[in-house]
Amino acid sequence: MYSSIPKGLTDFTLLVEKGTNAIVTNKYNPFYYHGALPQFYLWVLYLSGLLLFAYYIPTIDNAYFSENLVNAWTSVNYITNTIPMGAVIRGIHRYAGDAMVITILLHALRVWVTDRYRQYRWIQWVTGIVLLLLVLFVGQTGYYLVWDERSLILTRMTVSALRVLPFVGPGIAEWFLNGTAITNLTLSNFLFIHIGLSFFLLFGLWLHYVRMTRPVMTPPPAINYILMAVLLLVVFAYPISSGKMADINSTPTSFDIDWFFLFPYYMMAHMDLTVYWVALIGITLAVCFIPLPSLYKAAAPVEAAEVVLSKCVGCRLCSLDCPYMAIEMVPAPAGSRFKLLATVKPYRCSGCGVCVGACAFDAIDLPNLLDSDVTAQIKAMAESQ
Amino acid sequence: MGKTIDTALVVVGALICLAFTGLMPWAELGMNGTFDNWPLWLRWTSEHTGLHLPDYAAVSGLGADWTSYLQKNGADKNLGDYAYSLVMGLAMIAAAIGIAAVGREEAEEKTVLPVKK
Repeated sequence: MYSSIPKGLTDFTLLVEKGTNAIVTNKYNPFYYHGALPQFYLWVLYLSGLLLFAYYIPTIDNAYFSENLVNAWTSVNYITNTIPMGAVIRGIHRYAGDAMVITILLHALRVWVTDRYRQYRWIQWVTGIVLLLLVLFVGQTGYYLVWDERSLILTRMTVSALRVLPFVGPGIAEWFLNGTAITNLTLSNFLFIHIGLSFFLLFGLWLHYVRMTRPVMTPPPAINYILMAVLLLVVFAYPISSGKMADINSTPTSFDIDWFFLFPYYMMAHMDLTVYWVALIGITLAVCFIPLPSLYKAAAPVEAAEVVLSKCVGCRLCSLDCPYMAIEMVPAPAGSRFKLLATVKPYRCSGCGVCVGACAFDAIDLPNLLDSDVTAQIKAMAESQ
Repeated sequence: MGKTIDTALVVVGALICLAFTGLMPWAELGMNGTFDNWPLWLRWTSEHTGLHLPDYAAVSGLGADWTSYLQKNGADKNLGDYAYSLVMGLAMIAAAIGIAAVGREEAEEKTVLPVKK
């Protein structure tokens, strides 16, 4: 019964994609760029964030609420109300973050529905889940940086949740606050986490892509324009504004929730914190372990493909077609007629045989399933018909 | 037939570009459509030619509608920036349609098979 759910979803997905192809052709079908869409929004976030960073001041001072007060909240207000197009850039930054979460979830759904997470793709699946968690945390730190009443509530809730963790909780909470109480150092820490972790995402993306051949990382320009247009239309329709400036001597109790990033705080507010951590960690591990059954069902240990060096002409077709980046072209030895030779990285080879099909010169083979054996099997099947 | 559609798309695209170009300065001026805020060349055209341009009071009314909408949704300053983002978004959609219309012919993938020796 479980398998009928993804199968039904797969059929529905393929039907929708076929309909989309008829309208925009396969070159511009956004479903075929489901991994590239969040990557595009990441670049938008970097650029808009750089512009915001130029004017942002990470301090919390609000003594006496003086007229010339300069702190995080007033700097964000300055960006929004004084800098030309500042409000639009702030809106782009906020909504690009939301759009990134939406497109990541759609990407994960399509990968699950089309079975792209099985066996050797488990690395992509697990790194993807970790990347999603990092994106959510980076987004949450963005909400702290505005330093309005919502930021204050979120900071206090996070500290309470961290302190509950056994053994390491108080230490992590102190690291999070950059001390034992909320100070200017706290906001500097938030800014460091927000920017540093967002650049760490690039390393995570490298892990995500490393065993994929020709990952599509950029949608075509037409799709990029539409993605930006959607952002700008949302910025126009729903301008961003800050709440009241945070005062650490006060105790605000409610805030507007952005469900894309702040749903964990809804959970924190409505359940015991220990249950919250058990649920969060449990759900994360369960989702990460989705590819596990397919790993155990894998066939006997794989014998990697082998190159017949005397026949290899260095045409690169096997290297280009390998889905797992397991074939590398290296310079041919001196005296060879050809410039390059193919070599197989056995630790990456899955024994799928795509390289054998790609080679036009019988120069690569699977040792436990020779070309001649396959031909003989096909011939036997044809003759038995 | 294909060329006729392409020509029509080019004409429509050009008109859209002109419209957006006219909307941009209006947005930059905070969507205020009074005659004093018109671009200089447009005022000169209206005053010195027999071409009496449409009543901008209707556009001013549109500006007032947009202003109240934005204020209701949280904006309090630089309202023209938001209108600018709207116009830019519409321009990008038009650009995307244009790119897709031009790129439709290149949609088919060509596969080159090596010849076995």
